[in-house]
Order: sequence, then C-alpha cells, then structure tokens
Amino acid sequence: MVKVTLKSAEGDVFEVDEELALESLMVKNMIEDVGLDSAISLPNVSSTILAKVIEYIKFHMDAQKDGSKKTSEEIKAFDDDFVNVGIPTLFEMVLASNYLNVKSLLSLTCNTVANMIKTKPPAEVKEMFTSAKQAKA
Amino acid sequence: MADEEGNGLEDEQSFSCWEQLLPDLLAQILARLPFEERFLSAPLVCKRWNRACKEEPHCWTSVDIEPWFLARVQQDFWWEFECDDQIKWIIHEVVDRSRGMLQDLRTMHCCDSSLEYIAHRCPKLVSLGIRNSLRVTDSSAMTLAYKCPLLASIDISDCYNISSAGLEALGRHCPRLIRLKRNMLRNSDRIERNKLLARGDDDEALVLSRSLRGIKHLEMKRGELSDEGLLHIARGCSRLEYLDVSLCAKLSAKGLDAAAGMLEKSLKIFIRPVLPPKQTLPDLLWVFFQ
Repeated sequence: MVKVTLKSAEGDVFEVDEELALESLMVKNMIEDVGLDSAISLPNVSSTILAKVIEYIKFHMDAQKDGSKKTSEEIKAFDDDFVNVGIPTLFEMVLASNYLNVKSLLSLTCNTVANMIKTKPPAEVKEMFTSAKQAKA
Repeated sequence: MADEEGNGLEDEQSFSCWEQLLPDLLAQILARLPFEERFLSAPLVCKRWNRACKEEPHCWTSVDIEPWFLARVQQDFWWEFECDDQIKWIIHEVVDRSRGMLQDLRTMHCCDSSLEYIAHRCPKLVSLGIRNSLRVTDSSAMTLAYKCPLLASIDISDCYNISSAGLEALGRHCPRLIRLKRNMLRNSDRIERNKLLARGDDDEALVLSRSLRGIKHLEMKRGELSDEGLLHIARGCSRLEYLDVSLCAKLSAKGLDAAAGMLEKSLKIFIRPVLPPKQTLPDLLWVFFQ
C-alpha cells in the first residue's frame, strides 16, 4: 500500500495510507499536483487535531468496508464521543475539516456546534463562547 | 507565571478564532439552526453573526417556517387565517437573504404574490411546501412551474385554488418532480365552499396520469378520488413507489386491488382507506318484511 506523509503545523510527521489521505479533497488535490514523493505540509492543522481527523477517517473507512460488523448505533456512539470535546478543540476541528475539505466531518462538527447553540438565548450563546476563554485563563 | 501567560495567550487565540470564524463557515453552522433561531436570536449574539445572518446566502438555502408558525398559533394564539401579512413579509425577507440560493422552503398560508416572488427569484428551488395556502391560485402555480424547473418535491396539500391546470403545468415544466403531496385534510367549514376549485378528484388524477409519469411518491389523502381516477393513476404513473389514498371515501376494495395489481412491480408502500364493513341496511330490510 502506498503511503502518504502528512506534516502538521508543529512539523510532526504522520504516515497514512493513500486511500485514507484521499478522503480529504484538499490532500487529494495536493497529491495530484505535487505527487507522492515529498511530504505534504499542512500548516493550518496542529498535530493533535490532525491525529483526531485521521482517527475519524480511519474509523469511518473501516465501518464502510464490506464485512465490518459495526452497527449504525456503534458509529453514532463513536461520532458522539468524537465530538464530545471542549469548545476550543471543537472549533479547531471545524476549521481543520473545512481546510482539509472532509465533508462528513465538517457536517458532523457543524451540527454539533449548532446543537450547542440551539434553544439558547443570544446572551447565553455569547457567554458560552466567552466562558470557554475565561475557564482556562 | 510564564506558564499562565502562555495559557492565556492560547485561549485568547482560540476565542478570537470564534470571532474570526470565516463567514462561510459560520454560515454552515447557522444554516443548521431552526428557522426561528436563525431569524430572530442568532443575529443578536454579536455583530459578526448579525452580518452573517443577513448577508450570507448560504445560511438560507433550506428554510422551514412551519414549526415556528405552528408554535405561534398554539402559544401566542395567532389566528392562522389572518397571518398572511406576517407570512408574506417573512417569505420576502428569506428570499431576499438567500439571494437566489434557496433550495428548500416549507411554509403555510402562502399567497399568490409571495409565490410569484419566490418563483422569480429562486431558480434553484428543489423542494417547496405550501400547505394550507388557500390564496394560491393556478396563475402563480404556473409561474412557479415555468421558473423553477429543478423542483423535485412539492407539497400543495389543502391548496384548494390550485386546480388541475396548475398541476398540469407543474408536471409539464418540472421534469424532475417525483414527490407530490395533495392531501385535502382541512375541515371545509371555515372555507367558503363555492370558492373551492380543487377537491383531489378524478380530473386531477387524469392530469397526473398524463403529465406526471415519473412520479414516485404521491399522497392524495381525503380526496374525492373514485376507482376510475385511481386506475388512471395506476396506468399512467407506473414508477410509483409510495401511494397514500387513505380517507378517500369513494374508493372500493375492488378498485384498490386492481390498482395495487397494476403497480405491483414498483409500489413499495400502499396506504389504503379503511373501508366500512359490508352490511345490509336495516331500513331496507324493514321495508322488505312489511
């Protein structure tokens, strides 16, 4: 299997299968332009987020393969667990999935954010995003 | 100390990120909110959101006004037949904000002028629901058919003033139309009877069978459809996968079975009306015995 080397913002190197890398349309375009020889650098994605994105794509690729025993509930549980992170991380995932152009992840993360905002009055929404800042500081 | 500062900086960044969220990405998130929040509360969060709600057409590709409107009727005691002005204003606002990107719209109590407004400005419309729109007539339905050729799904339940002519135009000009809902569920006591043009009867069935041959999902609840009309539909629309004719009082078991037989290949779900059990009329028997 051909491997693709991805380089995160911090300079960490991730080696992944080509099939997996192609799930990201942005990487796919890069491969078409540059080829597989050099590492593809992703200056907008940090190592932790890139690792998470890879984990997500891997899980869903396995789930889609024939003969996988994962039920739709298991997939949903994985998704729920996957986005059950703090607001800053979630935000970075929205950005990363947009940048890498992974449609399914983008819609998952956007849905999560929308669900967080839903049924909250504007002041609370604003506070939610502000408190994310204050909680850590 | 240095550590704290570092953390603070990082948080500062991550928060300002929310603020700097690209407008199109923000639109992606806002587009997933229910209509009410997108329209009324999200713009109040901050200036950027306000601008995004008003100026990002991608926020408004899919809009469902119905739940919000029904909540107003239930909670705020709006009298639904007198809300035409509000609905009209909202529809105009939504159409303006979408700048022609609107693809999916569900509303109620639409009127002729709003529907023409939609038709002229939203060529990408794929799905439209205008339940309970008594003031929509054939003329605007025809405009819609000419201007929105991509329509794939339409809900004109209880639109008593769209007649078979409107249906025919829709069938002719929207080749992708595969879902039609034409339920006549309204109690007509509040509607002036003589003004009703359409009743979901055999004429409409004939038009459907001629011009909507590719239709897959058809609902005609409580129409005045008879066995003959149902057979027309079965003959003409051979790709039907879902057919709902519940509450159609004129249908008989024989006609239903014949239609089911003709559509056997494609039909997956067929909802039949509950027919009254056969009984001899007691009055007649009484006469007989005397």
